[in-house]
Amino acid sequence: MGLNFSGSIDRAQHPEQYPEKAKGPTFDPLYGFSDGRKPKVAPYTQEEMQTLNIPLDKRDYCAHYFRAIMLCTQQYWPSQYGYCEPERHAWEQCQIQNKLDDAKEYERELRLRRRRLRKEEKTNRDLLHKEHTDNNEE
Amino acid sequence: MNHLIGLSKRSALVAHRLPIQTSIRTALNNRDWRPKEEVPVTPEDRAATAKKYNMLPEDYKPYPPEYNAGDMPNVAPAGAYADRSPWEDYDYPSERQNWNEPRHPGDHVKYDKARIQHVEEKQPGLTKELLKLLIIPITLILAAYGFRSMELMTPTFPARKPEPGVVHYSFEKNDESGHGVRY
Repeated sequence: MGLNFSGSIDRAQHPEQYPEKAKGPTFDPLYGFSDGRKPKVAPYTQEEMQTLNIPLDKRDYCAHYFRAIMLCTQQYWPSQYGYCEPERHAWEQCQIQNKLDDAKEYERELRLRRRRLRKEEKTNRDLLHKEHTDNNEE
Repeated sequence: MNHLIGLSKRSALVAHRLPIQTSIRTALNNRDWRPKEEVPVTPEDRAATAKKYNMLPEDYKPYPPEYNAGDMPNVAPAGAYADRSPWEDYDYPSERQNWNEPRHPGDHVKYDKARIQHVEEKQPGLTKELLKLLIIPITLILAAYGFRSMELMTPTFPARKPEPGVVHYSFEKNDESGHGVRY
């Protein structure tokens, strides 16, 4: 079977080993980053985006690029496909960067979860071993 | 006809692989079967005619004289091939007819199996056809409902949007410049 199907089955069998997509990252975002992380800056506030008439599904961290596309489209209509390609390319690069961040965030969540599981398993094993040795000594 | 006059042991004979009697001779040749022009009147004549046509004397009834049918038996129509019961023990099961069985003339007209006949349970029904149309969509809907908890393995979170009061971090080092990342 394909990775999508077998992975879905594995996720349904072991839900604790996989991040919850709807919930998002659960660990401390700065844990393990000794130098810290730069926060992302939203290009506009919500009111500004509403004023600039940006569509609801484009109100993300690339909204300023999409605003440029909107203005270019207004200016060069109906030949916007011949003139607005640089703007569109810039917006696509921004989307790619954001999607890469999401994927990295997912991978970090997955690895931290499995690390936590391994640690719990190790402590349980040590406890069992300790009980076993104590009983033998008695 | 055998089972009608109490001679049918057909199923037992078939089960024991014994010879099956499929005929009772009522006449020696075809001339004896030929219908007579005179309608029988006396009970003896009627009994003899009934025997000729392989019928019980009380079942035999000639046609009215205006038909000019002579001593031909007036039997009720027994139905065409599809109208007769398929579970009966016929002498000719493929024809659904017994040997030497008196039939209504209309039955012979209607007897052809290739004719379109009135078979009630084979009439197409609108509701059945409409229900058949629903099989595929209902299957798909039930499958979607059954797999609703399955999640595809795209290894990423859904794209996050700026919300007031929530800080989303990039994966760049913080260089103490005080500026965030703006792609």
